[in-house]
Amino acid sequence: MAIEKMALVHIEGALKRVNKTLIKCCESYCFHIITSSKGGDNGKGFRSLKSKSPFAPIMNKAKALADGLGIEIKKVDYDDIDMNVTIDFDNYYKDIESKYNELFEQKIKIEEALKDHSVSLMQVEKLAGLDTDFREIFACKYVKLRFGRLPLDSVLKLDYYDDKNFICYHFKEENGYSQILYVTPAADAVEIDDIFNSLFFERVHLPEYIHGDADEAKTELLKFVKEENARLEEVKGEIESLKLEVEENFLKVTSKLASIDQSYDLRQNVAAVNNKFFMSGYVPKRKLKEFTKSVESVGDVNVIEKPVDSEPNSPPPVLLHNCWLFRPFEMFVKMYGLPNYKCFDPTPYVAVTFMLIFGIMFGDLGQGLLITVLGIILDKWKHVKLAPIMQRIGITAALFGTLYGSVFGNEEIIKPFFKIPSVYEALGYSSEPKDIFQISTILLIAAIGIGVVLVLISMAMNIVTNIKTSNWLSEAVINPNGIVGMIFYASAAVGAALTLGMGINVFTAPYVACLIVLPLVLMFLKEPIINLVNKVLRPKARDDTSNIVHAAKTYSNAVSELDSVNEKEKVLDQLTSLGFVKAQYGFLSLDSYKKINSAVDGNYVFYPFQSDENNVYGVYIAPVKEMPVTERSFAALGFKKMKMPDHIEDIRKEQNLHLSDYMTEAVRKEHKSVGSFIIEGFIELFEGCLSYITNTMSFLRIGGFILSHAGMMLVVSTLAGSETSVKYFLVQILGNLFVIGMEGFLVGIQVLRLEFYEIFSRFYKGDGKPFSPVVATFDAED
Amino acid sequence: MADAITAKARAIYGKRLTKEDYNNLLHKSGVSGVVAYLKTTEKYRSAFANVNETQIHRGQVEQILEKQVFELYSKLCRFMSADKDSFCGYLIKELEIKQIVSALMHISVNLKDGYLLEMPAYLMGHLSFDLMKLSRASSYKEVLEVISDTPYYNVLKPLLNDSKKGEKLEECAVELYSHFIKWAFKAIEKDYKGEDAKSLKEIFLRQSDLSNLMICYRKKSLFNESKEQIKKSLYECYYRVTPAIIDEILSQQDAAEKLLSLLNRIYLKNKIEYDPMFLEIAVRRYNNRFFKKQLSFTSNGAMALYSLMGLCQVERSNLQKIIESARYNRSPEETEKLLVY
Repeated sequence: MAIEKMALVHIEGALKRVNKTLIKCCESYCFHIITSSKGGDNGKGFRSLKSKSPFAPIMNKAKALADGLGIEIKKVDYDDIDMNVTIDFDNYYKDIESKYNELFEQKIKIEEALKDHSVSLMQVEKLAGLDTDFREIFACKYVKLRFGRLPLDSVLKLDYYDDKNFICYHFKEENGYSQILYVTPAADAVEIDDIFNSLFFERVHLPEYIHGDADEAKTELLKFVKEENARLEEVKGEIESLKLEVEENFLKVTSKLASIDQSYDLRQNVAAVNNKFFMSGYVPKRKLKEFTKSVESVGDVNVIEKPVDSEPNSPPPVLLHNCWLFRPFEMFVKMYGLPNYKCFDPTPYVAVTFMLIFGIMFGDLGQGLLITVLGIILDKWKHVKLAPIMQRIGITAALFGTLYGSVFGNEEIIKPFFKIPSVYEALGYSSEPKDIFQISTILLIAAIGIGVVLVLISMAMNIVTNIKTSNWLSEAVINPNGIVGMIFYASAAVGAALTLGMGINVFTAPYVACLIVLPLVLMFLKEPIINLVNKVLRPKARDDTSNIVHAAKTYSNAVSELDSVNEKEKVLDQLTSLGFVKAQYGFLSLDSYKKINSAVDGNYVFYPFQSDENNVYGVYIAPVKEMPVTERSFAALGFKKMKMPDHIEDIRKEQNLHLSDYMTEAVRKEHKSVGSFIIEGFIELFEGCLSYITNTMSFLRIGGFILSHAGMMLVVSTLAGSETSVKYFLVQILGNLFVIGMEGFLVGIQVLRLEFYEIFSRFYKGDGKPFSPVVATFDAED
Repeated sequence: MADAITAKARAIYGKRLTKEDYNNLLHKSGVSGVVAYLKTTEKYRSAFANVNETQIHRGQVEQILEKQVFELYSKLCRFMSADKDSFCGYLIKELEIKQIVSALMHISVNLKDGYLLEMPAYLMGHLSFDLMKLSRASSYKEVLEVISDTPYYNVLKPLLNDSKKGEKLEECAVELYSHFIKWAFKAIEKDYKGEDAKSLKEIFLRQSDLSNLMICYRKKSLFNESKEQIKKSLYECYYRVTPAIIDEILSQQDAAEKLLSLLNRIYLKNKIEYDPMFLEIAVRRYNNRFFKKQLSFTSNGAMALYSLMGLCQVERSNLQKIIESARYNRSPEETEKLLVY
């Protein structure tokens, strides 16, 4: 029940085995490929493998064929397919294609004929009333006849041409057009056609095979349409037979082809040198043995496990692994953002709190069970992601419903807990409360209590997480969500509870001074304290800024003196290996470049190398411990990480971009004035204290929704009345469905809000990268 | 009813073509592509529903677009109060003048059935003279006979009675449009009072100013006509560009530049970029902005109707440019410069 442990593996082997290895990786479904920072041990002479897949055209052919045959391409096992080279695949598809094309051509011909017949039929229908045989019309030698339609506006203009040699018959007027036939002597046909064309006449060419008058022609055309339709069905049947004949094998072959084709896309992550290839990636630790065995079975390939944190630019991806009870709640965690690999998976905590809070807020035995049943149905029928969550929260709602004694709003079937004498006496009531509204104060106080406990648990999680990630002082200790903040919050909450609830005043001078004021002062002085501790305990850290400046200077000088570009990469490696700073090469847009100073906090140096119309290319350098923050800030600016390019040019002289400006900026940020320190410190402290109050008060909604649920059900039962009749059952059913639909939805949203805003904001960052194993897909279109 | 008309006019304007639509239209190949696209838009779907885009002619598309604007106008006019219908007939009046000028133009160049082919047959029965008779007219005299029962007869009689074909065409157009503006003023005075009347009159005065400035600029820069000749072509209706100002500018050496500068100072106010070669585009842009503003803020039904019609004409004109470009393979970039939105 945690984040899946990952193993970092380097795979190396003979270059000729690279495709087979990549296919094995795809088939394993557990290999998350990364771009290795070095591509090997010494980082020299490596090149990235980039080549266009020779299988891509065949894949396109396979897709077109599948489309034509109506085969839905999906991934299937293809162990028994031993095709490996392009020609094998090509021949296979050509064979099917030749059979298919023959049928396809027949189909097209029939469809074209059908289209012609349909158009003719439509026209003939519009000529209803024409009692002359079409054969006679077509046989006319000295007169020309034209069928078609004329806009009604143009029909009005025909009077103008009274003196011209033509006769126009109007058949039918519809949609702003008149269906007409005009007859003109062959000698005048050109002039008359010109007139009609200028009046926007749209001519229809009737096929010469139609016979008889309009009615007979229509009957004949209908017969043709029927015959062609029958032929079309026959051909479609043959295509269907072909599909059934080839489908099984076609899917296997296409799956294999897709795997091979996809492997070419993955080659850009593979480095090669001296007929050897290297690639890196993450594999879930529990599948490592199986993966190693499968990949090494290719031959001449070795899988070597490396320490999981040895690829700083590609931190391990995150794969959540939870038991069946908690697994559906991973959806909410993913929605917020996956946890960092070094942190813990909050899914169990989310699951427990979600089920608990929902149960409390929506407590009703009948409605809870109904939600569970609905969840089961939706899960089986529609595979809705929310359905398994509905199953679980429905059960907790039913459990709390039993406690509240509520069954579809009826509180008389089961005795509520607050009507048990020992319980209501313990709660301070002398007589049995009539209904839940009488204990509303207790419910609201209990809701705040739940809130205090959850906030404290969240703070504890924040402390543990930050100790694990070595951010102990600034995040785990002196922080509103750290030990100091926890002491303040717990003391204030316990003090308030004892004073207001039990009348014991604990707010004595030492209590206030040590547990309330001191934590506040510590939080206010957070920055100077951290600086002081760093000076005393971590003397090396105090020189961070000057180290950066020095490192950047060294780097700048070294780069400007270097002739060989390969040496630049070496310098970058050397700089990174200094240990106290890290450097990252990449690019960002010109707009973002202008915003760097205002958008990126912390100690860093951005060193621009070159620019084009849109982007600035360069390196940012920051202390190791601040690198994650700097990385996030640069990522937010749209900085795209890149490998050091083969050729870079220094443009400082051209664009007058002086590194010293950036160094001055970095140093300036280090020194903050007293005034700004006080203002910033006060605002941060005020914000922190305000968040304690608002977060705690926010949990009042738990009690509020218990009352709201009871209130809504009271309305339903009032509307239904006490008399057992059809109306009673109708109102009860509709009322309960309405409450389940509306309130269930509202409560779900409110609980999620509590999770994301009140709980997650205290300890969770959600900056993990998802585990994406390489797989063969069918939608890669290049 | 004014509220109903303004609301309806705004709703109709809301269905106008968007920038995205224009962008898509600019990249359509051929008239059929443009028509096929228009069929998918809410505003033009019904107008082109029964049209076969594979066979349609550019002229037919333009006629359909013109007809649609007229139908829209007729529909909105029904909402006008009965006591304010004098001014409402302005579009009919404008179309009548357009038909007469068009017929005279075709007669003057001896195009026998030229006018007939352009004639909007859907206007038959709406105008004060017989369109078919006008289309059959082959001389100025016959035209005068056709319009003998209309006020245009008295306007044109002194000009056409003794003129030969091809003569005094421009004077006829100027006189007719001047007559139209005078008629519009009378109609406005009859139907409206106070601010409503003032703002409606102002529209005509502005349009007259803009037309006069364009006429002066073209005649001066392209044909270098004399001051007296130019003044004959101007509408007898002045607002900010008074006859004295025109007189003064036309007397100067750099009159063309001065005219542009005047146009810019009084109307365009440096907010509209333009190329003097395409001055009418700048004026259309100005009109577009002006009518948009009027439609947004007016509570006068007639003003809303007039503004909407103005905006519809701008859109129709845009489509006309797009169709021309599609027909003659003009590049989308070039055409886009001619559009106003």
